[in-house]
Amino acid sequence: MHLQATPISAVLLVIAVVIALATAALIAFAFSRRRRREKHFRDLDELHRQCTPIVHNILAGSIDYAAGIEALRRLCPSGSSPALEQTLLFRNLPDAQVPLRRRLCEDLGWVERWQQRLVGQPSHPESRSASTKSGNLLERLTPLRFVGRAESAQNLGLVRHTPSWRVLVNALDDPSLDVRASAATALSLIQAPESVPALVERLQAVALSPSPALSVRQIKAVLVRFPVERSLDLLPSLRHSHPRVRYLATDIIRGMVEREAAADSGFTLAPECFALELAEVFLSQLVADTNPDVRARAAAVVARLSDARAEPALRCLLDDPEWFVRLHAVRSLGDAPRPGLLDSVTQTLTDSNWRVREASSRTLLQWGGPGIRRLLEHFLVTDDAYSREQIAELLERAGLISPLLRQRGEGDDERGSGAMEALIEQGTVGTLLTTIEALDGERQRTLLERLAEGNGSRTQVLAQALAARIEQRAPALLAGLSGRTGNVQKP
Amino acid sequence: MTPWKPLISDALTVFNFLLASYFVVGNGVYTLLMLMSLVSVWLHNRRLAYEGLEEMKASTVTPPVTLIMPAHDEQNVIVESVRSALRTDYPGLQVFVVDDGSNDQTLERLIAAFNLVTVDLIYRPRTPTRGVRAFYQNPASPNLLVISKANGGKPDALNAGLNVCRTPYFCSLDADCLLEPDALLRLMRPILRSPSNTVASGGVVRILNGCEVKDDRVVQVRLPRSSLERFQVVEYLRSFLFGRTGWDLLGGTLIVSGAFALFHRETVLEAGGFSTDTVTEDMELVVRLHRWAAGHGRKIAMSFTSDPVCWSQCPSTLKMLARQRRRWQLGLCQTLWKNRFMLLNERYGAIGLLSFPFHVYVEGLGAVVELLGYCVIVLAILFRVALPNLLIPFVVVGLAWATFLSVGAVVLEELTHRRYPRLRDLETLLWYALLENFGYRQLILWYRFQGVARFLAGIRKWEKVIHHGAAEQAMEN
Repeated sequence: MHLQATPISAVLLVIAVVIALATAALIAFAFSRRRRREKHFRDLDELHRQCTPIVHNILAGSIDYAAGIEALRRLCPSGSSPALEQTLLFRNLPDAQVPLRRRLCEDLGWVERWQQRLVGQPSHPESRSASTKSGNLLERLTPLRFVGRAESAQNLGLVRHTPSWRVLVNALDDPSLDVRASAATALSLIQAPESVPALVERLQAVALSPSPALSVRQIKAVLVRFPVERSLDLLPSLRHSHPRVRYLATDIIRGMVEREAAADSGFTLAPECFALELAEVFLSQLVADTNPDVRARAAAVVARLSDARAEPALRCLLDDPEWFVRLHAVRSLGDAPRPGLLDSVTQTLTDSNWRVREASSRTLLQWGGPGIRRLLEHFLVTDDAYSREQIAELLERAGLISPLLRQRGEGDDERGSGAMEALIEQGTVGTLLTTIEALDGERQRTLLERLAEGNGSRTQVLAQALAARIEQRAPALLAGLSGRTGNVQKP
Repeated sequence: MTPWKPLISDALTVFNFLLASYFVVGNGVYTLLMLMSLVSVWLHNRRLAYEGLEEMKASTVTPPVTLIMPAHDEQNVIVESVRSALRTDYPGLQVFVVDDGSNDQTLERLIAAFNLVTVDLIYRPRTPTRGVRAFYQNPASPNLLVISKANGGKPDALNAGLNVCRTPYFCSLDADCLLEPDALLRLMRPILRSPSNTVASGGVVRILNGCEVKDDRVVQVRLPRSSLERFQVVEYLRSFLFGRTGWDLLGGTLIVSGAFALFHRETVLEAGGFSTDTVTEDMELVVRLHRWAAGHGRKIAMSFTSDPVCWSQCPSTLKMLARQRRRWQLGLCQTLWKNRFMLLNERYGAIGLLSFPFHVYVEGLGAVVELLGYCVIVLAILFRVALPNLLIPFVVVGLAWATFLSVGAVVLEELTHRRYPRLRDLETLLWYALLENFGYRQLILWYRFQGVARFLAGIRKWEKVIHHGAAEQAMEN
């Protein structure tokens, strides 16, 4: 192995010099860029500072609209400064000011610019994004123009420009995924009813095609934002022969219903907001669909239906052979109590799957008085250790130990007292100990006396140990008693 | 001339080529990654203008997430880290802190700070862990759960959290980290947008030392005062901004920092959870997920994005830095060795053909090759053995190139995120980027070499790095 050292050394030297020069160039570039950016942001901030109060005053109606527009035009002669664009597009605008902002954007020519940019027409030179070199670069280089299109789509959505729905629907077929996603989000903000069929069409394409244009989650997120009245547009998808299409459509309607229910706890699907045809499909087809995912997602919708057939349908779902269908069914009843299903829900407390047992306990707890009574009754009588363990966990998590303890101390509720004792007997004493220790002396004493009257051996030991601890005599005894001694597991 | 000198001379020539190839491959690949990342990160920053975070937050389709924070002897930082985690802006967020048998006041401080009480929850282990002792919760704030368990190491603690977790995704977060409010939403964004099954999403870890922290939030980004910490800032910029971004672009993500990473729970459980047989459970999990997916015919994707930020404390003393780097190198060697059949295996695509060989040669063996290079130069001078003419020029070019890369990382930061607002910070960063390869690099190389030596010696010890709270840091600064 022999090398001609001199020429290679020279080459290496040249490389080292080139690298050193490149490093120096990078450093110089960093400083020059910093200076340019600082100047740019200074100018932008200044313009922003001047524009913001005018825009706010126009939107608040505290200055004349025409005078306000004139003032903005004086500040930004082309009417298209990026500072003004940012000021106009701030989020969390009160609903009442949205129409005025839309008008302002139209009158200043922004809407037209965004629409033009979205359809790929060159914008006015002065309106180029951020009017910086990077902004110009994004417009000059064709492969990067998608950024401007996506921004424009988003802006049209932010100002809720309803007439732009058609342009946005066309943008759902843009070659860039970013533009498609932005357009879809904008459509969900505008909520033009005419755009829903186009979105549903994309949903079906995504469900059936191996190379989706948008992700399933993105289309779902967009459609779920529409009011539940628009679910009628999903009817063909609910009847589609492909189970995945039916599943996605059902899941989207479930999302719409849950969103409305989150805002209004008493929300029900009455015929005026949920067409009878739809209710019919849910009650007669989807609850018995061959695809268990469809049955599972249908439960949440059926639970909100004001139809006499809903309860029998839900009873079937609570008894479904698939555990996750039972899970969805029992969960869906949490926010929509149906006293007629109290027995059926109670039965699921002994379900073979722990997730169903957990959901069942939670649902009964959410039902309040009757549900909790049923939960405690079951806790006292059942021989199913798994079910007892699940209920005990929920009582602790929900902070119910303290009220139960109070009932035990006051002796005013047989069921609550019994439940407390049962909890101690199965070793669920973690929260109990903390709660007892937090009580004042008199209440502690009364409670311990009552606990000592209990039948269970562990209860008596606990009462004695606590009494001893209060008198500072036997901390070790108590420490030995606490812990998760009664924990059992079922797959 | 003594008879052994020609032999040594030939050996040195061979070594010369080895060293040259190490510098060319390492710096060449990093230059490529830097150029790719420059375009990608710049474009990504422009795209943030229409990212739709508000819509994501309001959407019912955004899946809930559990933050799992393993903590062992973290009494100095734990309360502020948990407070920061609880303030994360994310719908349906749960925070699990797993106290991994701390010997200090970690658990007691949590109980006192958040008014926790014992709750008897059911523990259903899907991955085996050391014994769980107790659960603590405040019924008034049910989204925080503290799990106390016997000490079993960070992966064991993560597995305990994973066993209790019910949300479809979880985010592992180190106990010394402060999250930016929207970091989790940003981390979830690529998962929601991706048409493919993205099972892991990583974000950037930035250095907290020196920053001003108020109400468990970073309010002023500042450089740390000590040189040791400043070098680490440059190092992190290089690693996160173009190392990981570049590999992500090539589809060769082999490391997602476990300090702050989002995972799909069911996939991780199916792949067996976090492994306890390496000291870098994050890298091991990522490599195993690739292996598992290929073995089960599943198509998975991983993503790395540079805008979700988690602030973490870096070691401020040589002793702690040495511990951290030895552990990283040891974990790297363990993981690469454990999965050695992936090397140049086309079944694993870019991982097997590009990323894995690079990590073996440059990140793994590189520590030995480069250190030996320096030793050879010193020994040859001491023993007056003629060095190959090209050895020193190669080392000089290699170091100049590495300096170019360090400066490039700072410039990339300046072109994209610009998190250090003061001009003085930029000057300081550039200065430290220029100096990094002359002294600090060799120090790190020595620690990495120790890590390799520990691997060869079969030592598996997890070396604990002790962190100070942000408040303490601020006082020190």
